[in-house]
Amino acid sequence: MKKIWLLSGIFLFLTACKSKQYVQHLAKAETAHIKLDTTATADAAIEAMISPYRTTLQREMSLPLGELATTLKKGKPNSNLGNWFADILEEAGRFIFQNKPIDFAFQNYGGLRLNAIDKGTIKVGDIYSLMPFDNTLCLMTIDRATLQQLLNLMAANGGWPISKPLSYTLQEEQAIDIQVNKMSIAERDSFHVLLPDYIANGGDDCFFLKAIPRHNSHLYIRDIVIEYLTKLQEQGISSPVDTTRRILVKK
Amino acid sequence: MNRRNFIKNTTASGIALWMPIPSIFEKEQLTKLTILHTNDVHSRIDPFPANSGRMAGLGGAARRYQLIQEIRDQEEQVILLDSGDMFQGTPYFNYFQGELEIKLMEQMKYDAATIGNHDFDGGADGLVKQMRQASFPLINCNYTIEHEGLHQITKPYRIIQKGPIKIGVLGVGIELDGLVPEKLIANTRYNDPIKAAQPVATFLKEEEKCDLVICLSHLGYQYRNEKVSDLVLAKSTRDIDLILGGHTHNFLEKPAIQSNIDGQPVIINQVGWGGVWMGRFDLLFEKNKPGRCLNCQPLLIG
Ligand SMILES: [Zn+2]
Repeated sequence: MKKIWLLSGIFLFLTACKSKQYVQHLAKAETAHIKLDTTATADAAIEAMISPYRTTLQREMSLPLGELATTLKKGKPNSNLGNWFADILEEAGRFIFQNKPIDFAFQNYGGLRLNAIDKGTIKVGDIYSLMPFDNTLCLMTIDRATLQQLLNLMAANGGWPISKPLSYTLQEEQAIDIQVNKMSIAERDSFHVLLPDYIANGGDDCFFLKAIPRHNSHLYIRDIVIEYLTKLQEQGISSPVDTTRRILVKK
Repeated sequence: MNRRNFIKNTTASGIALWMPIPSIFEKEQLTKLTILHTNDVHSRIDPFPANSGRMAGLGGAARRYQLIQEIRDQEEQVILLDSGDMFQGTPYFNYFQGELEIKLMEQMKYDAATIGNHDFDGGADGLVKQMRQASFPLINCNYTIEHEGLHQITKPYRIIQKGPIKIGVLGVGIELDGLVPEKLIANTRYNDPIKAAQPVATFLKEEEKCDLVICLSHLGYQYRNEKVSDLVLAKSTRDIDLILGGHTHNFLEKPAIQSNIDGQPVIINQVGWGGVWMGRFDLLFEKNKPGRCLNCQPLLIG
């Protein structure tokens, strides 16, 4: 446990008090950020309090969800983890919103909280770590201008995970040459998009999506992914990892 | 606590915190107040697992409890505060809805916590249900709360008396619109934190004569746009001495000092997230006449 003393001494007269009574002057301030690392000891009674909860969770979190042939890594603008995740959202979304047209899925970059999932057996706990937030999957129909605005925002953020049918070129923080199923978006007026409710509700500066009607599955994305991987595992199929670059970068 | 004891205590911990100038005035009395604080613990009950990069192996509630106990054993006047987002981030929350998080905070004897956006993730009902285990209040003055249970457990401020030192604690939270699904917040409405905090801070300083006014904030440290942050709050108000922040998960290298509207310094701090750091302030108060302070030192950051 390392103590870092950062700030020494402060001079603060509490000037407001005009009476002749005594006052408490804040004479000095010292601060430290105490890092809780492996040199800090853990209290045994607290450990005992946590233990039954931990045991339940460990059992649940260690359940396998199939095998990964390669390590998945998060990155911008493209990453195999981002592609894998967005493709699962699209596949699962097609199943959840049956008979509704769907063009592509996307996930806000900040919603994915793991930098990597190691190759080998994926576990339920990995998906919880990847997606700890209780975001639900929504389907929304947006016009071309809104799609452009959305992709510009993604581009300005360095690129968010998008599913296979969507591609664009990132140039000077803008999205150009946008294509859906290899067709320029200029050919169409509306687009059917799968996205987290957090974004649909205006999160991460997507305020322009707030007023647009949406179908909310009311299913947590985390649970959707876990169920999808469980089904694949039952069929003995490993989840596909597509490494094509969906976002091209032009300087 | 007399001064002899005070000096002994500080040198016993291995660090000479301050060496008071010998006083020729008999009335001068020194009191040390230790403030411990956390923010955005996000249900991190266990230390971060090995695959967590720079966070690997850090944090953990049992270690935090032990550390707090050690400090409570050493120091006479200790307060413990949290700046919100106690919930959400590990399966502990998804499976047990915050039960263990609050149970542990109660064991650690938190004095107050403010409401973070993620503390609504189990709904207002869920937050109230878990807070029933707690004897510390939620502190917020800029939400209009219609949910009856939440209204009952949320106070605009709390006054804590520690020895001769009177501490006023107020709290402010972030705009929930776009951050939390509407049905979870049960009509809780956000109001301008500057407008809401100012009268409360002035009341604590002027009416209640608090020696120290602390604002627990879940506004975020700093924004590129116009959004109200801790820095903006500090420079737009008076009567707040210390802002303990959260939401933006900043591992501040050291606390920031921002001049308030009257040019007085406000200390702002934030200790990252996940409970890997605990913030500590040791404040020395000198009881003396207004305008006379023997131990007062100019502000020094280093
Ligand atoms: Zn947070």
